[in-house]
Amino acid sequence: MENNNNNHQQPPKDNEQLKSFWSKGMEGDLNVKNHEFPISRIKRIMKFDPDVSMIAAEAPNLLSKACEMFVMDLTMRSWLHAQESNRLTIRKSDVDAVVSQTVIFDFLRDDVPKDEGEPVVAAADPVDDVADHVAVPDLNNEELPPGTVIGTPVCYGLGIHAPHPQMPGAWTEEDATGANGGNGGN
Amino acid sequence: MERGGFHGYRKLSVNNTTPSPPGLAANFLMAEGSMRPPEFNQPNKTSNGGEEECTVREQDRFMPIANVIRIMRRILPAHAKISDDSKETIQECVSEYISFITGEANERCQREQRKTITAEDVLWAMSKLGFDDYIEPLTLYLHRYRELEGERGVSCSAGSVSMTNGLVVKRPNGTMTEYGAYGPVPGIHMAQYHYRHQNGFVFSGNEPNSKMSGSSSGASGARVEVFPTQQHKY
Repeated sequence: MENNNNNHQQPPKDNEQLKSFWSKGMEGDLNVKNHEFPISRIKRIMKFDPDVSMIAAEAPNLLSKACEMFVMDLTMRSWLHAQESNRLTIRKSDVDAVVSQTVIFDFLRDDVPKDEGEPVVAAADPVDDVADHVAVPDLNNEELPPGTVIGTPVCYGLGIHAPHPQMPGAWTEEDATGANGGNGGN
Repeated sequence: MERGGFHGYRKLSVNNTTPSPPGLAANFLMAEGSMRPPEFNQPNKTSNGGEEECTVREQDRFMPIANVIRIMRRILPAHAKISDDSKETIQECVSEYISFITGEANERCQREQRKTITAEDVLWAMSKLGFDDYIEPLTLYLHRYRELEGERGVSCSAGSVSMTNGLVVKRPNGTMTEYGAYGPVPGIHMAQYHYRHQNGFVFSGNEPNSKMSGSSSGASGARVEVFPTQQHKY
């Protein structure tokens, strides 16, 4: 099953800024001794997979740096998406849209609810074999002030790439804890 | 040894940077099938009485939110703002990313009947899963990481080079390490004949000279006869 968006996966602006990002942003990150993410926690997450038995010492260190790049990649694309709407605040809908529109982030689509407001996503829904949701997250995010979200801490699904048979449960759980009224999960 | 191994990896990374779209789709299916940790599915989140338990699991399952925010700030302009729900979303995405890469790297390990996930497996998994832009910076990072590790543990062995010659008996000494930096062959020769001279070597005689020049064809330079020495110095 292929979840690729054939059109406009990387806009020209995205390409230009991404190139400058990779050339300049990465130079300062080659500091070997500076670890932003704790190595022990990366090891623990790696070992959640029962098939993983032994991990070399270099692998979590490398993954720590890779996670920094991943966060910066996701953040910058989300920022570009926010700027397209002339906003100075990155919202969850920006992150959701980036996940929907970027091929390398396909593995996150089961965790991040789909941005129904995007027409491209609507076209991709039949291929995903996921039931459509009536609610539009964009409107909800725009109507609710950020303070409301702070008041109710949102704990999303278990944060793993669940197989398809378990997706309805994950969706229901996410919708329930997300305080998004009106979402009818299967 | 390390350099050779690293060069070998570079070839591997170059080959892996051209995945075809159908292969990419197949990889996603494989990755999806390999990522089924039951521990994640068992716990149920209850917002009533499981606050402490949820906190412990949250700490185990996610990266610290402060670190995530700091890295986000690093790439954003100063006037940019980040909503709290987007911070939490990206925090969850990081854990998912670790599991995704680890699952693919572990598959490669099992396919090759190995038990330890190495840094090369992680890089290979990233390249296979479409994160090609990450490979070059991470390769540089890994190289520097290993340089630091190499400096800590003395891994240079300049005296390991062995050349059989009936006329000269080679013995390791303290200056071998110093000359090893210039390369095994010139270092060995310099160490044998001149302890504190960085110039080329000359051995008096017709046959031995031709043999030595033949064996050290790579080391070219001005050959000056310093002083005659006995054939068997040691």
